[in-house]
Amino acid sequence: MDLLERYLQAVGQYLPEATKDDTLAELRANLLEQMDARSEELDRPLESGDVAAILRSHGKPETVALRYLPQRSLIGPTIFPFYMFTLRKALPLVVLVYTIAQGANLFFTRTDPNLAGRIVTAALKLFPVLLVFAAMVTLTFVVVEYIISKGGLKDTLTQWDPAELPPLKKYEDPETTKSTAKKTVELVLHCLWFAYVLWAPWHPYWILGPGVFFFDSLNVALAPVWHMFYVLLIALLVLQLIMRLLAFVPAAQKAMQPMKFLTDLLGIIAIGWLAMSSVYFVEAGTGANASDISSVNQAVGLAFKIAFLAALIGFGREVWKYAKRTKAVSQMAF
Amino acid sequence: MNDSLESGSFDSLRLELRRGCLIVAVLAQLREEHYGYTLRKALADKGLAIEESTLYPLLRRLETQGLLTSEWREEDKRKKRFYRLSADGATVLEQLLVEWNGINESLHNILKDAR
Repeated sequence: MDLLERYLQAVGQYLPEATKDDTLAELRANLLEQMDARSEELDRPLESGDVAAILRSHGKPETVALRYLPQRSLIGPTIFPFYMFTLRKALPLVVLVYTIAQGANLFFTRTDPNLAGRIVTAALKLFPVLLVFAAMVTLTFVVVEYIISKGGLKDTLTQWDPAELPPLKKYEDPETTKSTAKKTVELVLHCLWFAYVLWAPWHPYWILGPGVFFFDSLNVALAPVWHMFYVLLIALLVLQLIMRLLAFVPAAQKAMQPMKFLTDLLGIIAIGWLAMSSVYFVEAGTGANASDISSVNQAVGLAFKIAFLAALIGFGREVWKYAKRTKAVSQMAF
Repeated sequence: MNDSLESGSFDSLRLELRRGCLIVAVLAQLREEHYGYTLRKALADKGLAIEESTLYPLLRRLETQGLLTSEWREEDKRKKRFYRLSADGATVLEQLLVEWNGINESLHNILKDAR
């Protein structure tokens, strides 16, 4: 019987003091009864192995004790969907606010020689910020759950008016719903921008303004990486020009989205080309400060790498949204 | 559906299906007085096996809800806790049986139509 008492002691560890003795007395009586029946069945006194088998089949002490405790949940099924919805909607906002705040901080201290290290630190600190935010939201919902368990907020959860539901959302492709006037303005502006890009490289004053004289005095020139970038930029502008023209042809509307992806992809390739390089400015004569040029190249390289990453994420998001829309439409069709 | 998923889903659905039925069975069986061990045996003899670790806490919960009454009494030189259906429990049992019969009938009709 020593094993039974040890078992009851183990169960009792997890039971509330107020009901512990009563519960254990009942458990003891039931288990003894079960042991008597087993002994009768075997027609002999029970051995320690028989007692162990009965206790094993009764259950692990912690599990048995937990079943006697009131069933509670920190966040119950009634408000759990609201909890998940809040986290899903609020976490991207937290990331945005954090990025803006850290971005501003880095911008105003951009002369710091350890800028790259500070960017990495800021990125790593995002995780504890997200964890703290998630913990705060969880805590809030635990309080709400407690209030509900005490009978509060009943009306808020059950009373609602169907008339207050938001109107049905209908997806409208911004490209295909543009007015002709808007399309015309966009085409004209694009042509002007294209002409400027073709013309400006041979007239640096139109890019840098009076700053071109200062640039000349630095004895610094653009690295060859910009030549390829310029070719990619021209290809991108040609594609966009075709898109602007096709926007006037109703039959070509289906091709707009794939073409938009193509131009986005070309833009990413162009930024990727710059991000992969490490030299953007080179010495163009005596008097140039090699150390300054190297620092500038490093900073510009980092900026392009960040821009490339952001463009990749943006492109992935657009593709995902398109796939989701297409799937929804195909499901509606069946 | 793979085997492990099928078995996992079945176990969880079976548990859900049995949960409510067990309460009705326990309340109905306790129209006669029983203590934990004999109640479990009586249910098992009628084809409804139930684990001790599920039954004993369930009795406590039903008593807390006022559906059962209990008293400690000595029998065969051993103190045991006897449970019996309370007046409130009897009313609730009647209501649950009406509900149960309704569900049973509807399910029977649905299954008949599906054949």
